[in-house]
Formats: sequence, C-alpha cells, structure tokens
Amino acid sequence: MLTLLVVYGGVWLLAQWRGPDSGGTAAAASGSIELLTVTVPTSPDDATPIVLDAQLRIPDGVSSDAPAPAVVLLHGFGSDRSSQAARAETLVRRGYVVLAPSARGFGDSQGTIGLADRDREGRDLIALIDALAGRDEVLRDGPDDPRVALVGASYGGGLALIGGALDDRVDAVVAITAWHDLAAALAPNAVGAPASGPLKVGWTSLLFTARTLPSGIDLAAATGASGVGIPVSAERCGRFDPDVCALADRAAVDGRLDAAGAAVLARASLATLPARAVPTLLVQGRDDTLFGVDAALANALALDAVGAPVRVRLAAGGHGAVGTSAATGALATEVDAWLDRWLRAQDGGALAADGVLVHDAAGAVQTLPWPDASRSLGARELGLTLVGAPVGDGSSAAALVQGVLVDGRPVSATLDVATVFTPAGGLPAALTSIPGLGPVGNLAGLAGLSTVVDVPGQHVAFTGQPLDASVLLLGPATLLLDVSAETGESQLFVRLASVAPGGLTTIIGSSFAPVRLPVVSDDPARPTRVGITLPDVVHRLEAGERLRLTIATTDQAYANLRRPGTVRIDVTDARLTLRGPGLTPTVAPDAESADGARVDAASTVAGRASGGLRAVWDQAPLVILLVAALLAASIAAVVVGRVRVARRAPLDPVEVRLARTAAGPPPVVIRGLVKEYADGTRAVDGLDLSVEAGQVVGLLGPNGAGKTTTLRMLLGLITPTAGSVELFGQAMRPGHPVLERVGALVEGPGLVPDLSGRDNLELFWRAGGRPMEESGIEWAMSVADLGSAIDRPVRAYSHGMAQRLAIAQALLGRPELLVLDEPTDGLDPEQIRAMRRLLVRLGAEGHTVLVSSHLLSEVEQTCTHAVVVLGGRIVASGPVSELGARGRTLIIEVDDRERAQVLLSAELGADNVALEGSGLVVTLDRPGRSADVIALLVGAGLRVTTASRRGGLEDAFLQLTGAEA
Amino acid sequence: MINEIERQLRRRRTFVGLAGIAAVPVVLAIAFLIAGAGSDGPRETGDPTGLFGFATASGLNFALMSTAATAPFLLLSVVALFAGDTISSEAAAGSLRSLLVRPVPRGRLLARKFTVALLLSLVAAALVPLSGMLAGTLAYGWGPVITPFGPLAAGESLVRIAAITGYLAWSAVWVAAVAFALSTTTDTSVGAVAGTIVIVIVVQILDAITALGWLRTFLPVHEGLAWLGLLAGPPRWGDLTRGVVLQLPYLALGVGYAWWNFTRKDVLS
Repeated sequence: MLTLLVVYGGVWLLAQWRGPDSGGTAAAASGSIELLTVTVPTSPDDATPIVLDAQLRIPDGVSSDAPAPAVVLLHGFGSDRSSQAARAETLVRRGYVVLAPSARGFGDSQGTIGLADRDREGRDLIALIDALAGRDEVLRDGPDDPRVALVGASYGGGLALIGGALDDRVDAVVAITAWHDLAAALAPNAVGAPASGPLKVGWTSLLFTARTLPSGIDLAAATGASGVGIPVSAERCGRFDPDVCALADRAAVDGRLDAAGAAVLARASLATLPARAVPTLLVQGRDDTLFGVDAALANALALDAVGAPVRVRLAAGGHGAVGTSAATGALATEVDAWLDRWLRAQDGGALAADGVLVHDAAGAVQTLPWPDASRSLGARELGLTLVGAPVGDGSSAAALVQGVLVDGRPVSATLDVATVFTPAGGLPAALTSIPGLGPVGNLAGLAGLSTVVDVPGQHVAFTGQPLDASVLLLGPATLLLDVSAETGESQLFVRLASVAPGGLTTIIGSSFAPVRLPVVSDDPARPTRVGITLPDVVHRLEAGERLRLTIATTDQAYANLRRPGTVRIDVTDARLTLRGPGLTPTVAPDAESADGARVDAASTVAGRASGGLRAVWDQAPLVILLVAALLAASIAAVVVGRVRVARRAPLDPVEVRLARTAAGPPPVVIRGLVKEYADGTRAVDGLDLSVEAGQVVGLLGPNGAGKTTTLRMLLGLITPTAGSVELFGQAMRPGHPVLERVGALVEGPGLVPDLSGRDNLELFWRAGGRPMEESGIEWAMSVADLGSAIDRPVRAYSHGMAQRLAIAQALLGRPELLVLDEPTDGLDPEQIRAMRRLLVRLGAEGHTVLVSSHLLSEVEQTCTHAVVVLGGRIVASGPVSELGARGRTLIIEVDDRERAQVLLSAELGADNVALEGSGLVVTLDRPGRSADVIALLVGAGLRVTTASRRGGLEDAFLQLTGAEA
Repeated sequence: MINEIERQLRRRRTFVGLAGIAAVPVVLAIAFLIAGAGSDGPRETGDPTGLFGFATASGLNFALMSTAATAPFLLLSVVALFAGDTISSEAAAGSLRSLLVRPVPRGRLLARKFTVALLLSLVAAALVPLSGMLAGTLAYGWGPVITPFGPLAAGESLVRIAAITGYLAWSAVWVAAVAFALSTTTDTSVGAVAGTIVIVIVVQILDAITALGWLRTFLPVHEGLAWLGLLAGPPRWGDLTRGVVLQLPYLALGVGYAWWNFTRKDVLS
C-alpha cells in the first residue's frame, strides 16, 4: 500500500513540478463564469423567438477598466458548448474573454438543427457578437464593435467562416476542418458537371444518425414546454429542421443530392457567399475524407482574392483527429499564435514567414510560393505549412517556382481498354476509407483494414515506373479518359495511391475523386471524353515509390449505382496531369494487369461470372469461421458433458467415511500390474500385491526395481499398461474420491515453494474439499516438528525439513492408508528414529501403511510385512519375521569353537564355516537347516551359548536380489 | 476455486506479472512528464491506434494510451505467463503430485486452474487502464476522452474503457488456451511460457503478411485492433463481433487438447 502511495504520489509530484504546461486540461476553471441567454428570431420570415444558451467566461483581472479581446468558440455537429470547456479554459488563461454558445438545436439552445444557414445560424452569430458588444469587459475597436475572433472546427469552422463573411466586426477567424462548398463536400462530382455526384453515405449517415442517438440530442427539450420546439409529429427527425431532415432522407434514398437539397446546402457554402477581408487561419487534415485539402485551399483562394491575410495549415490526420489536435493538441498553439497576432497585434514565433512553408529533413523551413503560377498571390500572405515531409535539394524549389506541370503519357498498347462492371445493387463495393479516420491504407493495421479492398472485376489499376527521385505533389491532379457504359449511366471512383517498393499501398491524402456521369455514351466505338479533377493533395512521393491510378465502379463510402452494367474505360488517349515541384516525367502510368479486369469483350462475361463467385468467396472466411465456432461449441459441449459424467460417478463422501469404520475390502489390491513405457521398458511387469488393513508393509527393492512406479499407479498418477489397482475395493482411476482415505508422499516433497509450510498444508487440505476441522493439521505440524519455520516459505527449507513437511501433508486428515515413498530420505538419524516410532504407532492405531525403502533395517524395525520387488516383479513377500527367517548365515557361540568347526565343516563344507571373533559364522545351504546345525552341535556334547541369524532381512534381501554382500 | 485463486495469488510470479503490467502506465507517465511529449500531432509513427497523440489530454486518455501500448504484446505475454505457468510450474516443483493425489478429478483441477488463469488475465487487463487512469489523472487531470473519432464524455468513456478492457481480455483467450495446452505438455514453465510467446510472435508476423489473403482473417490476432471501434460515437460492432467469435475455435482447440492430454498423462515429475 505504501509502495502504491509512493509510486503514484511520485507521478503526481512530477506533474506538479512539470507545471500545467505539460498537462492537457486542468480541473479547476479560471476566472468567472456567467450563463448568457441570447434571443434570436427563428428566421427572417418567422419572428418566433429562439433562446440560445451560451457561457461567458471572463479571465481574472479583466474588467471594464482593463478590457480584453473576445473569442467565440463554436462546437461541432452533434455536440454542444460543453465540448468546448477545455479549450475555453486555455483561452481564459491566456487572457481572452470566451463566449461558448450552443448552436440552435443543440444542447440547451432552442430551435431546430439546420445546416449552417446564413440567415439562421449565421444571424445567430451576429446576435452573439452584439451581446459581446454590450459587455464592458470586452475590448472595443469602436462603438458597438468588440474585438472578437470566431474559432470552430468542422460545423463550427464552417460557421466561423460564415460569421466572418457576414459581420465586419469580426477581427479574426480560425476555421478548422471546415468545408468550402457543402454540396460538393457531401456529394462530390469530379467531372465538375452541375449534376450532383454520389453521396458520401458513410459520412452523411454518421452526421444524421445523431437524431436517433440519445446523447447530444435532447428530444424533451425540443418538443417540451418551451413551445418553440418542433412538432411531435416530426419525431422521426428529432431536433433536426424538417427541411434538412427531409433533404437528408431524400439524399440517402437517391444516393445523390437533388436540386432542392443543393439549394439548402448552398446557403451554407462559402462558395456562394462574398468573402470579406478578415484574417483567417485554415487548418485542414491531409487525410480528411469529408472536407479535404481542396476545401481549405478553395477557402484560402476566395479569401485571398479579397485581400484577406490567410494561412493554411495542413496537418497529418483525418477529420476528427485534426479537429481535436487544433483544440487541445500541438496545433492549438498555432491557433493561439494566430489569435494573439490579430487580436493583440502580437506576432508569435509560429508565424515566421509568408508563403509555402515546407520543413526539410533537418527541420529547417523552406519558403516556397504557391505552385500554380496562374493564381497570383502578390505580396499577401498565403501560408501552406507541411510538417514531416522533407523536401529534397534546392533544385526542387527552383522547379517549383516555375510551376512545373507534368503530363502523363498514354499507357502501353497492350492494355488500352479495360472493362469493369458495376454490380447489381452496388454491392460488393470497394472499401477505401472510414469516416472520421481517413483512407484505410493509411491506418496501418487498423481493425484488419490495413489495405484498400478493391473488388475484382470492378476496378482497373495502372501503376507507374519507380520514381528515381523524391517529388512533392501539391495541388489538384487532372485526368482525361474516354468512357462508355452499356447502361448509358456511370459512376466511377478515381484515386491516386503511392506504392512502396515492398508493395505497401497508401492512398494519397484525400484524393478520392467520385465521378458521376448521368449521361454517357453507350457505344464503345464512340466513348465520351471525360475530364476529371482530383482533389488537391499535399503528398511527398519518395524515390523508388510508384504512383498508382485506380478507377473503380464502387466505393463503400458513397452511394453506389444499383443498376448492373459494364463500363469500358479507354485509356488510349488518357492524360494524367500532376502538379508539384520537382516532378520527373517518369511518373507516366504504365499498364499493369488489373485483378479481374479483362481487355476483350469475349472474356467480359467470364470475368463478371468469376467476379460474382469471388464476391461470395470473399464472404467465405465468415462462413468458415461460423462453422468453426459451431464445431468448437459442440466439442466444448462434449467435454463438459464428460466432465459432468465423471463428476456424477464418485461416491458420496459420507459413504466413504462410513466405510472406514466397517471391516471393508482390503486397502490395497493390485493384480497383474504392468507399466510399459513407450521405449519398451517394463518398469513394472506383472505385479500382484495385497495389503490388509492394519498392516505396515515395506516395499523393498534396489533402485529401479519399480517401487515408485508401482506407488504412482496405486495413486492414479500414471496409468497402468495392464492390470488393476483397487483401493478399499474401488477400481482406481485418477482423482478417484477414494483418495480421500489415502495420504501420500511420492518421490520427495511436492510443495509450493512460494508458500509457507502452514499455507502448504492448508491449501493442500482444502483442495480436497473437506472442512479444515477434519484435517488434524496441528497434529500433523507437531509430527513435522518444524517449530517457527512452519511460517517461513518452503523455498528456504532444507531437504530434511521439506521431507518432514511432506510427511505431515500426507498425514493430514489421518488417512486410513498411508503411502510413503522413501520417507526417511534426507532425515538425520534422530528424525529417522522419530519416523520409525511414528510408523509403528500408526500401525498400532490401525492405520494401513505402505512404505517403500531401500534401507532394510528401517523396514525390518518398523514393518509388519515386507515385499521385495525386483525387475518389476515381486520376488518375495510375507511377514518380516518369516522373511528374516530366510537368512542363511548363522552366528554360533559355543564352548569349543575348534571342535564345532570340524563337526560343521564335515556337514556343510569347510568353506561355509569360519571362525570370527569369539564365535563361528556358518552359512547354511538352506534356511531351514539352522535347527539341524544346533541339534548336531548339542548332540556332540557341545554347549551352545547363543545362535543367531545375522542380518535377517538384509541377508534374505541380498540373496533374493542376487547382490553380493 | 477460492483455494486455487489463493494458491496463485500467493505465487511470486503472479505478483511480479501484475505489478509489472500495472507499472507500465506509471513508467509511461514519468517518461511523458519528463520528455513533455504526447501531443505532437494526432498520429505518431508506429501507432496504429492514433491514441498516443492524445495521451496527455486527460487521465482517461492516458489510460487509453496505456491500454493501446500494452495490448499488442505485453498483455499477451502476461497472459501466457499466467496460463502457461499454471500446470508446468507445479510439475516442476513436484506439487502437481500433491494436487493429483487429492480426491479431485483431473478435469476439474484443469477447469479450476484455467478459470483462475483467465481471471488473473482479466485482472491484468483491467490493471492497465486503472493504473493508467490513476497515473494519468494525477499527471494530466480528469476530463473527457479525445479519440480519433472525436471527444467522449468522461462517464461514457469509463463504460467504453471497461468494454475495451473486456474485449482485450477476451482477445487474449487464445493465448491462454495455447499456453495452457503447452503447460500440460512440459514440466518446465519457461518452456510453456516462452513457447507461447514464440507462437504469439509467429502469429503476429503471419498476420502482417498481406499475401496470405483470407487465411489471415482466421488468425486470432487478426481483429486485435477492433476495440478501436468502441471509441467511435456509436460503437462499431462488426469487427468486434468477429474478434469475439474468432477466439472460440482456438479456445476449444487449446483447452480441448489440454484436457485430452492431461487426463491421460502419466505424471512422472
């Protein structure tokens, strides 16, 4: 606990020491907070009031005597002002008055959600600036003219741009991931025709499903007592404006925008709003698939055209990531610098130079003018900062100044016409991007979507030669193609990607060009010439990389055509034009055989058919996975079933305990036991053994005789090859409940080294499932006689201590049958004596003991019976006294040794009679002859003082095992 | 079961494994505080999750980043340790004999051991965000989570992080099953644990080979990043569901083999 306190306290202290700069958000709010309500009319035609909810924050030290500039923070779509709390805090700390409103329809503001309509949400902004003008704490540039900046991301960014265009009191705008033309962003058409392109269904459903989500949208507030909400009948639309709602629904059904929808979106577009010269920072994500780089550049050019200072900051990442980074991440400092510069006339270090800023490999900044010479920027500021993409040597910069345009050459003659097909229903479709995350190829390994998934037969790809030098692509690319479609209608998706030498394909920025051709030639001989403009990109192609142009008929991010048909793409005269500095002519596309694409008409049908089959095959992993899961479930069911059966079989423990009082079957009966190992070794070879209750049986035999193997089979640790083991009349198998009545020590102590002796005993006992009271643990511990060491970890025990603990473990619960394998191993003489006494006592108390040993004296002194094992078989067994009687060496003390020696030598042979010490050592020819020998001596008139058998069991054992004494 | 939990909790390797994985966020926090890094652009190189860039936005963000940092390998290694060590270490210490001479069927012993290994794995998976949350909140304060999909309120984030933890723990089940199967085949715990880690690495390498095509989609690590879908506004369930189902065959195979092997095995250790 103390360690935890120190560790985490250390982190906290370090954080305190590092100060708030290293932290993101602070818990406590600075300055004073005030809730404002601003009342606005519903629309210019409808004076019904709407109350907007806003929060005003005044920094400490700011008052009417010391006013400060203000920042209006605008939240994103589906959110409300609370999402701006962290950003507001940092700005308040920088000394800005911050006004954070919830847009109409969001949060606690009334009204319905629209799409940044200039006459609704736009006028709301004017009202909010009016509110700021009435505050003495806000610095004024003139009467009723507060010093104010509008800052927002995505929806908020678009609103900030609209506000900047509508209200000349705005002094600076920061628009992060904002759109330029909302209709073109949601339903782009790269041929530039007035017709709407395919709808970005992925994005639009993400935006409009907000109405069905409980978070962010409060239906009760919209339809409740306020009286200004939308009718309950519009429940389907939630808080959305019915017009917007209907527009979204129609677009989703049609897969494109209709004229009415386009008109609604046009009211939110900067494209149709006269720009005003307000200093504007535009932050855009290079991988943004909703509002791409092209949107930021279009906004920049529009603002630049009216003389506004503009800076474009292009950052790595998609829509959400860049918006977040600009709010709380690294980009926030650049936003702060922009605000300081235009609200306080402080020139921050982050705004060093004008022009295109490119960081080279060493981190130095190179300043380059805008690549397109036709777009004059004059002396005004149009910054384009590209971080993390080093430019080559100075020659590239020189080339850029000239605005090099590189034309693609026609592709080779072997593949000049490709036929691709549009699948019925628009599915399956290529998977290229995820709304909010950007192109899939740029999300290394994300959720298995590490590569673009192009559907065979539905796309054709052309890959250029490897570049011999690094080039920077900047601005839009254009493509001229000849297209014909059998249905007279076509939709194509054109994209550029870079292919690394290893084959890794990366989509270049947001260069997806959806092309909708509502009318196209259906005659392959006279195709329609199509000019396609791909969105602006900023991308560095490295040397060795190749440029790939892909033309596909489907894309999951868009509404695809549902009518099937083939599309012929003739690239004989195709021209791909890329813009950027330092481009070399080697980027001309070279033909590559595209997956599934077929050149001639004859194979088109086959291609389509196989494409269809492949579409099914693409789903195969899922099918196989399901089958595998079912298989797994059934295996699991079988296993569980068998375990259940195994559980049902055991005897009731009560029954087991009752059995112990009755004179039941013998504790151990072994019949014909065989254990043969894989290598053919027979460790046990037909062993029969029976141990009766109350016997203390010693299992004797040299090392490797099969003693331990026998005991392991007895306990169910190993499975016999043949034969049977019965304990208390029950056929043994692993973990049999009859083991309840057995205590065992097999081949050394098996203890958990991390636990103390006491814990080892307790855990061992509890593993059997019986209550602790029945364990007799105190008695067992007293037998082990470990003293205070019982509470020390077993790892610290000597071998003898561990052995004693293991014996105590075997004694837990006072088992009826005790199986001990070499119990005296590692004990000192005193402990061996104690062990013997214990075994004798246990036998006397009616326990049955089976003890193996290679020490004969031990068995002789403690056991009632002995079994001699040799080579896996029993060679002798019986009461120790009888076995000992088999000894053939007799020691005789007699009054006349010499005479006795002569007599016995005549009877038994001279070799078998020897003088030793004060007596005679006689080796009998068979065990039963001792009486004959004594009778012989007595009959000859000799006085026999003593006659004893030497070694007893040892002697017998040595004879049985054939070893020499 | 309690018995087995106690047995494992008192093992030193359990403590080391859990403390080690819980220490990672602390180490990361100290590194971030000293280096002052973590907010330099939304996507850093080598970060497929896009979460490292927002690590210092709030304590919860830091917890997410810690999760992202440990999920691909460290968590799997710890799970391999817990599951791979469970039988083999007892065999090595000889205590497996002691367990098996108790009147408990081997199948039930296995079930207990595997369940406890899974529980410990879940604890390990949960310790990362908890420790990350604690260290991150101390370092960067409490606040909403910022994800590549946009911000999430703190309360909602807690639910999402819990769900992510659950998914990651479940995604490690195949590792546990493999480690468990190996654990029944060897008497050295290092063999079972290291063997499993080698298998994890091989599978991850295979998953990175795009040329394998649809074969890759059956690899148990294939949906290893699907948990990112839980950070989206409405969570994306497709890959998640697949990732969950994907574990089942490996779980069945691993545990099935362990059961088949262990119930027949001659315990010679």
